[in-house]
Amino acid sequence: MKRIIAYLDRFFFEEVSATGFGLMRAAWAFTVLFYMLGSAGDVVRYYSDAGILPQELGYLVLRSEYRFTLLQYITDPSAVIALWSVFMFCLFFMMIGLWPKLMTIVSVLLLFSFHERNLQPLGGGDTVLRIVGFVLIIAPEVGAFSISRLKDQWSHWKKTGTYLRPLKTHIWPYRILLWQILIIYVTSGWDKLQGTMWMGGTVVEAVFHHTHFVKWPKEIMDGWTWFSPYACFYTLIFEFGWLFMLVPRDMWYVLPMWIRKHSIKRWLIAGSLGFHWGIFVFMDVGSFPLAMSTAYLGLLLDQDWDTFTRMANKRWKGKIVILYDGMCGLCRRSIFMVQLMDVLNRTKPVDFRDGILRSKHAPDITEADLDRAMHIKTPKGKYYKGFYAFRKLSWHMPSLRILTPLMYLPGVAPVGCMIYTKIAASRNRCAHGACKIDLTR
Amino acid sequence: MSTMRIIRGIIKTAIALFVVFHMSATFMYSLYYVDGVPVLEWLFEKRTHIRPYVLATSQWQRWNLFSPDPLRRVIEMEFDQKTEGEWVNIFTLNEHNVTWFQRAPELKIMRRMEEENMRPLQERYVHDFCKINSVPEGTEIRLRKRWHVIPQHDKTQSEAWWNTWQPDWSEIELLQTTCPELS
Repeated sequence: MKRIIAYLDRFFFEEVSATGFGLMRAAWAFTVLFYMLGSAGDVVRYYSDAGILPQELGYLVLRSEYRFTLLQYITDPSAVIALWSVFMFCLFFMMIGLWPKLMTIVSVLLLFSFHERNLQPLGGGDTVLRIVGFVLIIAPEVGAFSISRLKDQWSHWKKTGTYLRPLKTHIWPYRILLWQILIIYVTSGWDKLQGTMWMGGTVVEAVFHHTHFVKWPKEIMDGWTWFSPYACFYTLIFEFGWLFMLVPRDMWYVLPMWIRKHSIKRWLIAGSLGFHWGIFVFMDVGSFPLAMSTAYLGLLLDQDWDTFTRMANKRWKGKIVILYDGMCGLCRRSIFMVQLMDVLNRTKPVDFRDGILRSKHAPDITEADLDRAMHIKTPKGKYYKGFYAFRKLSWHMPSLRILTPLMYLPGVAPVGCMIYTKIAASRNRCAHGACKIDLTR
Repeated sequence: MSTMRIIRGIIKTAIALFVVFHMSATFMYSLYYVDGVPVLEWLFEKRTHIRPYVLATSQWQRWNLFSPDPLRRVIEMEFDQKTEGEWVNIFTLNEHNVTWFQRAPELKIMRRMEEENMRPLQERYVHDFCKINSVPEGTEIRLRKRWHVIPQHDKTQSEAWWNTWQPDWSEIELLQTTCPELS
């Protein structure tokens, strides 16, 4: 009996990383914000009584029971726009993580309100967003990757020079999310088997000629009809492949090592991403690819993050030494941020004001030179400074990687150097952790 | 056993039961009724018990994406205005005349209001069209539905076959109305 209780306790309440749910919160808010802002011009048309579905016509398309929406009471176009604006602000705060739990609850409930007001324009992606939103509401911890967490980290770092322990949460919201994804794929696969075209491999050629969905002209899509049977069978196989997630982990040990060393979940997620973004290349299916990608973030647990880090660092050896000024508040804050973003653990900050450390890590650079700009030293012993040091570092910070190519565009480097010089020159006027930056100098 | 431990145990049990209930409810709600499959028929009957929870929490779902067979009927709506006794086409609602963001929702709305019993919605949509495009009050407007069906085959056709295939459009008049007052 004790063993059963212990097993159940582990099944529902094992402590796991809350990183995935934090990322999912931000991605969910981004996705909803992106599509709601995109349809800003239609807010009055879709959701107010002056639009295409006034309440008195609701009986034609809306269910009459268990439907709760604030927009039953807020019907005037101006009031609807005001509520929509509040929704957009809440989504933005949720995305950046200002009062993350509160903003998540308010945003998700507002999404429910807007969706329940008019079901007509909703598609599969909207349903996924509602489902993921509900999981976010009930999840006990969604605060990772948030401004609130950043503030706590900064306070702790200032006091102790160390970061807070990674956020942990119970595993049960993950179980609900995984189950939900199984429902999506398996019931979808099951329904496909009730027809004839999926097994015949002809669905994709038909859909590739449905002008409501395809992105490209007929002449191009005609050339892709050969792809139809492969895409149909791939879809069915990968949808039912999610059933493997029901097999308890212990049972995988009967399989040979070369199979079980890979995570079936990560393969399924990779296959699903390929599937959804493959669809995106050819077709317009609304928010579905982005919504599903958002849901996958919540499925990432500690071992998944460890694997990503290990894979990313497979060919990486050593550390990038960052030589910073430990006497300057701005520099210390920058180092705090850099280390926080250094999820691949590739950097090592060194305070150049410490003579011993300086002579150990940068014996051939004078303190006066180091004082002029941040220097970094790569494991191969090459130095970069100022803007170029920042640009080099960005290659190693996954969250900054999106900006890296932009920093190589013509004209960006001189402007970057100029801004960097201004900031560096102003930094010595920093006091009590605050800096005044005079860009007019 | 301390009181705190008992309370913690009760909370944990409640959470675990909720998780099991939620999983069962969402699963049952997303199942399909299939004639001749007793388990599915039984589960479908029992849906009434979980329906209030699933609907009230907005967790309703149906994953019939392009299935059992995909939608093969392609439709578009033509808006005609009567000018000097003649019907003149002024707008076509199809994938070419909506923005990228509008494409999925607007075409979905069109598909959901195409049936005859949706006439009040069609009329409302036309009146909304008048308002957006500032069509003067009293202008006579006609809504036509055009459609064609993508052929279904037992096996994939060649590129050459698809190159020669052209849609065979049909059309029907859905309604005639007059534009309301611009307010």
